[in-house]
Amino acid sequence: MIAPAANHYRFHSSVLAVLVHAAFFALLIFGITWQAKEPAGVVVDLWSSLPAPPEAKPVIKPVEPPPPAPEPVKKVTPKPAPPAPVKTPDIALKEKRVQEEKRKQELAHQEKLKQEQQKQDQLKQEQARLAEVARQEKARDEQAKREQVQQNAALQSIKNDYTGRIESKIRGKLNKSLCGDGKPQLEFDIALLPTGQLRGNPILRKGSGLAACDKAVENAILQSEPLPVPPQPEAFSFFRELHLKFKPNE
Amino acid sequence: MKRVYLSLIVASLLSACASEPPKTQTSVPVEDRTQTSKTTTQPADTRPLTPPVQTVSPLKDPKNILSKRSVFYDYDSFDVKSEYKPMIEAHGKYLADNPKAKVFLQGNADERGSREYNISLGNKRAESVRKMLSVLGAKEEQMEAVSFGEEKPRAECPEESCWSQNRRTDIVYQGE
Amino acid sequence: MTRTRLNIFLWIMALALSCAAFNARAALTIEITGGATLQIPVAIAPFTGEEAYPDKLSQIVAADLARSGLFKLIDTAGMPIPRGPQEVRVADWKAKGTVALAIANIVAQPGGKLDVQFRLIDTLRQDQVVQLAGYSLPTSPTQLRLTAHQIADIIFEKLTGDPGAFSTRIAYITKRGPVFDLQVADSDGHNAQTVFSSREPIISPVWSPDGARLAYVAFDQKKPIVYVQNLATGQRQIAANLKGNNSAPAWSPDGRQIAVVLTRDGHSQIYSSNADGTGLKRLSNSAGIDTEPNWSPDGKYLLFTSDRGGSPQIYRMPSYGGEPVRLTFEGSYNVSPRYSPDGKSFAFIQREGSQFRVAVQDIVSGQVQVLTNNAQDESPSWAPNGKMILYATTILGRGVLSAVSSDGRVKQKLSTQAGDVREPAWGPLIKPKL
Repeated sequence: MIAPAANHYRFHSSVLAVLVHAAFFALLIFGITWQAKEPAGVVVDLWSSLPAPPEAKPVIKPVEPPPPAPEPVKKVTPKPAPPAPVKTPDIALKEKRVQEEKRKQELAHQEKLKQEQQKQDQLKQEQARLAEVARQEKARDEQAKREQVQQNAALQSIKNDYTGRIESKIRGKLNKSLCGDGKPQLEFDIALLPTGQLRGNPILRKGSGLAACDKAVENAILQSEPLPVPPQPEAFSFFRELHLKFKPNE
Repeated sequence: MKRVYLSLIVASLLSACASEPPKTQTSVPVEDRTQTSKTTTQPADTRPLTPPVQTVSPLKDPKNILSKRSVFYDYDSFDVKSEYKPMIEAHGKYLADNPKAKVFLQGNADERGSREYNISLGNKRAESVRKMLSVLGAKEEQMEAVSFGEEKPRAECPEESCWSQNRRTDIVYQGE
Repeated sequence: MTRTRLNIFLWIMALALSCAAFNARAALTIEITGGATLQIPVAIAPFTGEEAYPDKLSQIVAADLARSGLFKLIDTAGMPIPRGPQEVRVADWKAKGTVALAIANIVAQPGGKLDVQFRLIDTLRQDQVVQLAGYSLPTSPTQLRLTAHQIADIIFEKLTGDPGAFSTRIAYITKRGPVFDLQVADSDGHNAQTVFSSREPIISPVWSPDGARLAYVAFDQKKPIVYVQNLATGQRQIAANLKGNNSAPAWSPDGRQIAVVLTRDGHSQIYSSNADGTGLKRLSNSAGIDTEPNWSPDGKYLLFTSDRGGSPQIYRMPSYGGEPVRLTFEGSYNVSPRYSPDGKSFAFIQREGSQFRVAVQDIVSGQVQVLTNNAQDESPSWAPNGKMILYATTILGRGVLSAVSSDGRVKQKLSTQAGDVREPAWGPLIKPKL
């Protein structure tokens, strides 16, 4: 039935299918990540409005020390001067010339030393400056990290708070007397709007085997509408989609 | 169904012909086995029994101990107390002397507890009297122990004064 | 070529995995352990056309559901009465807190017949009208109460998962002055009819499994005799009439046999026979009292009361006879055992001090739960769905019928007429032809 020709077409079609799928997946991922990233932009706003700025001051302080740092480098430069007056001989003319020559050489040498010294000083200065920049960068990174941690902790506590609120609201509406004598476990997926209203109906992922129990849990979710969700967009993003696990008789 | 009642009426009319006028409630002999249930419709089965010939029965004479008929019991008990022994002995002798006489021993219980269990308890009481009569010379075919359980109380009130009257065995002669 | 295919495949896999990873991160998992014990909020709208009949169907349905204790009836006053599912404003009913709404039309049919078109609508689903049940029930003006009970059964089953038992019947004995009546009524106590009347006591009525016959004990021949009466024809037959007592009838689940208690051997012992009294066989064998046999739903065992251990206790033996096992150990008076419809437990009467109460014992664990708190409870009888136990009790010296839910949470007194009422027996579930 399947001719080789058909196989050929099949390859084409499979490539097409794969491409379409890939495109679809890509759309899915990026589409959703865009959505997920959106609030990240909002974070900045939220950040600036939070009491972060006063804490940011200590960041600036470590930046001040750099200007005084180069000064001690300048003080070091006069030190090479003393070696010059070491040689002062009083001899004959010829010797004077020779001495002149020597002096010149001496001077040239001293000049050379001086230049080298300066070069070294400049190098040291540059190194110190670079070290300082690195230090500043490091400090800034650490601060950002610290802030990230703080921010995450705040988000985490909001998340925990609303997780508990959702849990207790649904539990209070769940008529467990419809779930028999056993220990049923159920799982539902729900999607929420920022108002706490359901986006679509709850989807049963794992049933209890008892239709009345499944329905009782679904009704508990529906009766809990609107579910308590955090008003902060960043925190709400956790609650956009929920996977609910139920153990009504435990 | 109607035929059964008809036969009962016929039977009671026939017994009315006998020397002693019967009480309004006619006790019908009930010996029929389950298989005979259909044949109860035949009037021939319900012939009246000849009652004692005496015009004044010793059983009815208030001066005669035979006129005493009830044995009373303690709660949840079926032991016949010694005070009732002379009376039971008199009935035993009467039955031995009158082989045609037939007696029902009707056990009763107070109202507390299960009706069915009380039937069984009443039966134990009736049975205790039946056994004594048997020892005294009454024949098996002269006696039938039955129980009314708590269904036919002599006194009705929810306390011991009534209950003690209801825990009893009555000795009832056929035709009475 | 295979290589490119492999590459494509790997790409897809990578994509799929990243999607899965993304999803796993996106959906927050919340675990909800435990729940509440709640009544199910349900609304029964007045049925259109019901005002033409003396019995208001919607009220009978509501009363049935309320009596079970499992439902909270939502007031429908002031709500527009929908004549069809398309007229149901789901959001309004949801706002009232109801999970389901019953609506119905009574439609006259040619020849004086009626058709009750009934629907149960999910009021929580906002997006569309979801019908949980829809039936067209043919009936007649005289059968409307039965139709209402059938509707209550459908709602009960849809919302609890267990069959309803509202369209069943009960039997009981009344005593008015010197007259004893064996009566049969609807499960709500209405439509009572006397099926046998006597000036001598009547006790222990039991329904045949098909609901067509009643076995009972009558004393109209000055001693207890077991009768079987056909309810349709009124024909009465002796099932056991041997020397001594004949009492405590119990039907086998297949309706072919009756267990009875006879004293033909001197003391109360349990026998079995065919329903017509033939084929008699002794089952129990003790020197004391063995009585109140009750067949297990699978027909394998008999529960019974025996005083073989010195006090009345409940025992179990194979239904063909054989070695009994004692089941009750708490207290000195445990009687009247009745298997639950699922055969996992039994109801019985337990004496505590001077109080007689309805209790339930689990067969396997032996755990006992006392359900009532009265002085003189008797004759427990299970609803065929196992959700309620009907029993007799005494209030101010008068016998009345009461019911308790099998978990003891809900207690009801059945509306009864004047006179003493006792010896209740709940009839079997006869599936109506729908």
